[in-house]
Amino acid sequence: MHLSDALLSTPVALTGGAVAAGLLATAGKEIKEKENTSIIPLMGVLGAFIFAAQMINFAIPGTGSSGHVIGGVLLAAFLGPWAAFVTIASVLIIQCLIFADGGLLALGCNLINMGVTTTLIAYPLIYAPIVRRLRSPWVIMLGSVCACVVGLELGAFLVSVETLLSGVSALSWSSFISIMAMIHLPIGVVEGIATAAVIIFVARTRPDLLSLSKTAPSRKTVRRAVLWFAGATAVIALVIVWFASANPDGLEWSIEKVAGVEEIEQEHPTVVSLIAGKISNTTSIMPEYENPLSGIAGAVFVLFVVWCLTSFLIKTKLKEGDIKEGNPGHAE
Amino acid sequence: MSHHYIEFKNVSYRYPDGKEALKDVSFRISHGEKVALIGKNGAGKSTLLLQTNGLLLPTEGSVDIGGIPVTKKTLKIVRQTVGMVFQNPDDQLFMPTVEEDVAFGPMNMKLPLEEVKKRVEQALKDVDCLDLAKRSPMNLSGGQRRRVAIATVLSMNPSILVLDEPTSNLDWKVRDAVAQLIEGFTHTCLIATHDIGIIKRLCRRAIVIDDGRLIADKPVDEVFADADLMNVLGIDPEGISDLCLNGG
Amino acid sequence: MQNKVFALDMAYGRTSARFFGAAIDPRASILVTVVYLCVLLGVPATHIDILLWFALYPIIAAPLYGLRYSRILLKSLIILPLVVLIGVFNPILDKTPVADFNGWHITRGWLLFIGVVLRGLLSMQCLLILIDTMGFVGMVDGMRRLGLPRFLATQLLMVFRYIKVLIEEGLTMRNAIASRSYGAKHLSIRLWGTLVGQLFLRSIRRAENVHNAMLARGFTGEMPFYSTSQTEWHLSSTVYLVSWSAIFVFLRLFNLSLLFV
Repeated sequence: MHLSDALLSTPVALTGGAVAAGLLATAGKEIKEKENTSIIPLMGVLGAFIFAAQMINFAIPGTGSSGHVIGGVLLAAFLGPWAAFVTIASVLIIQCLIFADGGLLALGCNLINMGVTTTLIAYPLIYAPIVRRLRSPWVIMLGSVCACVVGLELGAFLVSVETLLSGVSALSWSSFISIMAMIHLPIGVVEGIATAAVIIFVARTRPDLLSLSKTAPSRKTVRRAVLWFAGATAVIALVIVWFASANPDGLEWSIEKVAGVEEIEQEHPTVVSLIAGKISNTTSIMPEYENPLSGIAGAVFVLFVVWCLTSFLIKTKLKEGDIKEGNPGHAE
Repeated sequence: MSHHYIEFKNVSYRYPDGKEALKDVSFRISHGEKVALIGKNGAGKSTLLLQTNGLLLPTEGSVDIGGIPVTKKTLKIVRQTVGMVFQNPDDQLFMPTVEEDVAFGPMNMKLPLEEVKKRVEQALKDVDCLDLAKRSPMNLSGGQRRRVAIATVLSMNPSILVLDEPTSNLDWKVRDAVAQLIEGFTHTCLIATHDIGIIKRLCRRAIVIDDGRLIADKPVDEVFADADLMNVLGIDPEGISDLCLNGG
Repeated sequence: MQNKVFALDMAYGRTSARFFGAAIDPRASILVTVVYLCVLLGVPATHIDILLWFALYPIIAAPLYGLRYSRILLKSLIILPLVVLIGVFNPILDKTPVADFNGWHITRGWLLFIGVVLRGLLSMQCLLILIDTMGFVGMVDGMRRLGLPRFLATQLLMVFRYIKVLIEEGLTMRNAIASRSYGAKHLSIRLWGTLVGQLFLRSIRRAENVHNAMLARGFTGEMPFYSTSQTEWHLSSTVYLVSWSAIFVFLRLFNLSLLFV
């Protein structure tokens, strides 16, 4: 479910980044105020734990293939929503920067699609109310599966909305979202079962760990959050439906027009519109060329020349100058 | 100078789940002494060590560090006086680079940056790891990690050192180097260890713990000559090679 | 899995760039990358003739930082499968013809596809340049000095520190179980739950030990940040940042490919 940069337009990516950043800041404040110092190494080590757990695959019965977990609900069950969110966020950031899972500008959206949905929505609103004090394996399984399915489906929905608003894929929105929803249903169930398996094991041996966090949601906050969430969903759904019905050409076409940098009609020329006009004049739509490929060929040729020049010139220069040595990273 | 001592007075400790880990333990380790803490696994060694710097506080009795009673209020000064080296160096090296780990203690003491730099350099020199300053702890060998872990504690200039199994999992040459290092320390040392060679080499006196109680507090030679004690500890006197007994 | 560990090992910085005699502050490098990505992703995927010119940045920056562009280019191909998978819908579904070349119809779908792939490769390349020069630790430090909250920097560095340790622990446990499993290809979910549960408990134990070690060295809640080699922000870094940003905006507004038409 990791979005790459190629799929998002800048406005969508930056909005996602802003939302994620805001939530991270809130998380930081909550953790600082309510948790004690032991949460710091816990978040660090458990973040590394998630990586290790993701490496270990299990067999999905009946398919012969293997699966692994994201871990948001699992962490939230022990760390509470905010600390779990920060931990999952750090895992996703490291996946992006070191393992190239997901793009850098898409990071904000990825944090929302996978981090927020599981730790800040699915856990407090689904898992916590179901499981509460009843620690029986079946209740844990139920809560876990429901939470993971909801979390992943929500993530899939958000992915489709984000790619739609970015106008990158030519796939029609309705087919995209139904494919995403269908794929993530079994994935959610599997993750739910896997999460439950771990929680049940830990509950048997160290039940005290299940209330590690001081930010575990109370019944009142959960109820309030559910109402807010339901209200927000209803509003967004209404907006989308209204918008779609008002534009018979298709939702995606109209939104692409808004998000992309296409021709902007202005009544009165201003600096912005002049630049915009310039953009629309110089942005090429191939038919304007007589010989469309020569432009591209020219570009490629220049790039190649620059490549040769720079690798020759600058490398020579570097041999004379000094190169600061960092960690070679070799074991002894 | 004569106040770098550790004194346990009738210390008992009960865990939150009810388990009694220490029962009425009393002893005094004087300035400059190196004392071994011996006992089977589960006898209470770790619990005892954690009392020395207030990570655990006794449920009964008191711990006195150089005239300062260990209480919630004195933790800051106690932890500057008592340097604790834990069993697993990976648990102790949690910063991105070696020098940041060694600087962690002095930085928490709010010392000026110049002073911190000096201490980091000195501590790394003392354990012969100055060249590792900018390395990540991830890629160091076991011996290097052990020595750096000791440096992280030395940089706080403690007068008392408490070490938990300093030579476990090390191969011969490295173990020898670590032993030599500790031998050179003038600090008061309390060393929990199974390593008989180390005990013979570094310590004149040994405290023996069994089932939370202090059952012996004598010179090392007397401890190993005591057949009953050896029985309790599960050490077969015949099985100890001459090499060990002669301080190898 | 092996290449993941390899990626971790490679996430250490090796070089830094010099520009007009002074070292470029890592913060400037990060900011340039951010500006680059923002501008790049604002180019609609159909405009391949504009997109191509954005390759100038990785081609020139790589040697500036002591890296070989060919190596960066090769490493960036790692995301090809992913991007191709996503972009491949376009040529299939969007068949609006857009140009003609010797009788070959070029459809908008194909343009989109190439554009998506190109954008993906370019963004990957500039990220690789950052990692290969500063390393992960350096990058987090740079981000922290740019405003990343301290608690998040601490978290990232600590996770990074313990990834290898935990992976090794997990694999050891997994191998121990596998050697008693008589050839089953993957673990059953129950067995997996036990293994991961054990690993989880061990992780909690380890975190408790780390916490004790932190407290024993005077920790009270604020992680200290200590560095002996802070780069200063010289004029060269400002020049670096401003000139690249200007170039990116220029490339976006003025289609250089038109020179060759």
